[in-house]
Amino acid sequence: MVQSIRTVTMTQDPDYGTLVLGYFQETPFYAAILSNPVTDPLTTSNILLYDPPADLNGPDYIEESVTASVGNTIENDIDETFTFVQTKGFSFAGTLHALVNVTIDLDQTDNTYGGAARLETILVELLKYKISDGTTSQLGILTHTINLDIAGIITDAKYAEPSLTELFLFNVGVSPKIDIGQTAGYLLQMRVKVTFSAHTPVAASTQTIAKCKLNCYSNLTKNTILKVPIV
Amino acid sequence: MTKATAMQVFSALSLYPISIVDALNTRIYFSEPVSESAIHAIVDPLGWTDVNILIIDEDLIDPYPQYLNSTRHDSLLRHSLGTVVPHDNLSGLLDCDIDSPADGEILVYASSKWGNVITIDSDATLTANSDDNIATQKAIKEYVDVESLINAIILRG
Repeated sequence: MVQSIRTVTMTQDPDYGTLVLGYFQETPFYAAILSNPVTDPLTTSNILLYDPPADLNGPDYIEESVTASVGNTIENDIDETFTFVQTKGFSFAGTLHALVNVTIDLDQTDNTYGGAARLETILVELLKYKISDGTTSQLGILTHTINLDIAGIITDAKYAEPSLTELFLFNVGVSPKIDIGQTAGYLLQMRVKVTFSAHTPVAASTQTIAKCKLNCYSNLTKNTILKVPIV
Repeated sequence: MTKATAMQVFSALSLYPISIVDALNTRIYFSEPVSESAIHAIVDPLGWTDVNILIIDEDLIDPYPQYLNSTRHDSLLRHSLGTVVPHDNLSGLLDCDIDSPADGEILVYASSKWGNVITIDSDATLTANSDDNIATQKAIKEYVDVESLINAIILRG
C-alpha cells in the first residue's frame, strides 16, 4: 500500500490497563463514479477508490437541480452511497475523516430581483455492507448544518458556482477494530446526502434554478474523500 | 453577530450595481465600481465585516499572466494592435488633442496638450495670413525673391 500518512500511535486498550504501541496508516479512499458499473459483489457505479488513477471516463460529479416558483423556497437533495468494492481485507480503528466537496450553483435568476441558491445540510453516514445478504449496519452518522447561500443576478456564471469542503470526524473506537473484506464478509460504505434549496423573491417574474454538485475523484481538484486509519 | 444570508445582503444593496453575493466565500461582486465605505456601512451591521468587494472582470487576478509579456507580443505580425493586443486610441491619451489628422498638419504643444492645429502652407503668396499656418522654406524663398525683385525695381526707379 502507498503510505500517505504513517504515524506511530500510542493509546490505552479498553481495560485502561495497558499502553498499546502500534502503527496505523491513514489511507484515503476517493469517492469516484464509474462509467460502467461493477456488478460484483454488488451492483453500483459509486465506488470508494483506493490508489488512483481512477476511471477518468466517469463523471466528475453527481448533480441535482431544483426550481423555485415565484415567492417560494424549494428543497432538493443528492443522496448517494459509495462502496469500497475491493474484497481484499483490511481493518481500521480510531478516527475516520470524511471530506465532502460540494458546489452550489445559482443557475438561473430574475434579472431585476435576483434569486438565491442555498446549501442547507450535509449528512455523512458510514456503513458496513454485509455481502451475504446485502444488509447494512451503521458505523456512524453526522449531519452538519451549512446554511450558506449565494444570491444575486446571473451576469457571469463563473462567479455563481462556489465550492466548499466540509470535514466530518467519526470515532469508531480502537477496540475492537473493524474488519472489512471478503473474509470478514463486509464492505465499507460512505453515504453522502447534500440538501440544498432555491429561492425566488415575490417580486421576481423568473423562477430561480439552483444546482448542487457532489464532486468526486475525476475532478482532481475537488474531491470527496474518506480517510481511514488502517491498522 | 449572526451573519445575514446572501439574499438579505443582496436585497440590502439593491440600490447598487450588484451582481452576486457569495456567502460561502464572503464575497460581493458588482458590475461597476462602488464606494467600499458605502458598501461597508450597509453590510457591516449584517455581520459581513470581512467581506471582499470585487468588480466583475476587473478586480480578479489574471489567471494566465504568463501569456502577456514582451516575448510573446514582440511583433505586430503575430498579434496586431487593437485585436489581440489592446492599446489606447489617440483620443484616449490625456496629453493629446488630435482631431481628424490630415496631410500637411504638424503637432504643436500648446495649453498642456499636443495638437494638430498648425498646417504646412506652400503658398508662395502667403495669402492666408494665418497664425495657424507655417510656410515652407520653398514658399518663403519664393515670396522673398519676388518681394526683393519688386523692391529692387521700385528702388531703382
